[in-house]
Amino acid sequence: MDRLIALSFLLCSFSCALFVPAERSDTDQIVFHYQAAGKVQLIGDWNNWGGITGATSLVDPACGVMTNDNGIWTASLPDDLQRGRYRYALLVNGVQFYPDPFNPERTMFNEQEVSVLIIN
Amino acid sequence: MIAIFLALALVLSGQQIDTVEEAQDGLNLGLLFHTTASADLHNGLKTLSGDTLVVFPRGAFRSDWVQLSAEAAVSYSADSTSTEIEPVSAGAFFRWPGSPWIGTGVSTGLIEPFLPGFDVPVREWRNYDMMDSSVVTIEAGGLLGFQGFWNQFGDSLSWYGVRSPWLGFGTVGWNGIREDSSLVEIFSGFLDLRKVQPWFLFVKENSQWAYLTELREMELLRNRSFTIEMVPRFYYEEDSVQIGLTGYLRGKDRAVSALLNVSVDAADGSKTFLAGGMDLLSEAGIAWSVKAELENLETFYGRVSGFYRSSPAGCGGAVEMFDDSLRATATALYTPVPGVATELSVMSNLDSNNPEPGCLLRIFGARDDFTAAVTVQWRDGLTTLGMEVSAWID
Repeated sequence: MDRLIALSFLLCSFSCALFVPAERSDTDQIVFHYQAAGKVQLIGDWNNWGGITGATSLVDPACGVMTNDNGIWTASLPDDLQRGRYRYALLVNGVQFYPDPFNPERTMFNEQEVSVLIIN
Repeated sequence: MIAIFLALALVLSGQQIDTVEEAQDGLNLGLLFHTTASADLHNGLKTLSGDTLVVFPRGAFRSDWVQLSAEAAVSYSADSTSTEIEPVSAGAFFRWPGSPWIGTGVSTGLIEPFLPGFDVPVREWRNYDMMDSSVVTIEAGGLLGFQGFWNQFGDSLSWYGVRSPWLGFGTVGWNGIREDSSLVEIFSGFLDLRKVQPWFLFVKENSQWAYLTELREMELLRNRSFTIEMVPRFYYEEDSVQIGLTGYLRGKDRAVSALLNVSVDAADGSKTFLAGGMDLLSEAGIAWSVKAELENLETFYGRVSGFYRSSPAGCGGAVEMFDDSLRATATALYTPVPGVATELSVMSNLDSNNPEPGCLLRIFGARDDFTAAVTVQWRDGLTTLGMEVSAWID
């Protein structure tokens, strides 16, 4: 119970914090802040996770590379995505998986926490 | 080790990426180099526990009508002390451009069965034994906008599906996987009723079935900064009925998102699942993340972290709680040049009787089509070294 109280306090504290503007222009764009990253890739169900689901289990280094503007990484979603649900993640420097911090919907893929995108 | 530093040097000398690359029509040829090595440093660097170098030559041709691809692996392993060449994947697909369309193809090593669900897939990649991954594919569509596919893996595994077009008020789909005598089928879709969107999913596995539905687009609040959506959920299977409610907060012009989820078993009130989480980026540039889960009022997991991922230096920390144990991690980040990051983490249980201290040093870099990582980990008195380099050359 003490832990729940402590976590509730932390959640309230964070909600009172000052939030930085997301600089998110529209909803069909994925934005990620990581100034120290050399490369960030947007991979998901629509591009077969950059090949990680294939025979080699390696992510194609050229797949879904996001655009960098002073540590703000952006990528547009494919225009031809049909209505439905898709899982996706942000791959930093070809090594680290991150879920989309702007999207609270999460699931698991390959033992990693990833995000859920709903096109409706 | 030399390969790692060569790759890091190439990374350092590269240029910043500023474009999103897409598959291009025409002929594309390339090589993917991938090498890994690991060692237990107590036994010395010469006792590598894993040491492989693989070169994947790739070729692909793409046009409106046809898509061809082939990939092989030329590998050298310290274990076998010999070079092996083997095919990795190959495929040929033909598709009638435009609508109505029809397509067919054969492939190996390119396709694996997958059944999507809502939050959790009904069948994940690699749930099936893919020793025989040769596939014959048939696609068809155009009749009233419906699309269908059939993938036949060898003679024992089939993956098939049909998907409707947008019907003006909703869309539906049917997918199935049959392996020998085992059959899993799902029927799913959603309706757009303007104020609310019911999503539904029927799962039938052999003679058992389950039903899952949720109501989307019920927004409690929508303003310039935030959206708060409430999603009621209902899940039924033969011995369980669960009712849940999830609230999602999404920042529109603010870097924040959060969720709160409550799920209860209607037949047994003690079977509950509570989860909450929040991610935000503060004006100071600190990425905060909080996550907590409580299952059946017994099993608890919580995580609080804050990272300042600035360049050239940053830092962060995390505390993880699992039932009665607490584990803390402190991390320092250093980026000497854009694209190369050094990360040093130390961790310990917050229990003086069982501290289980550990230390992790990672150096990784990425630039253009190169990635490289060196990891040194110390835990329980054991020090291990791991290295990985990938490079893609067109």
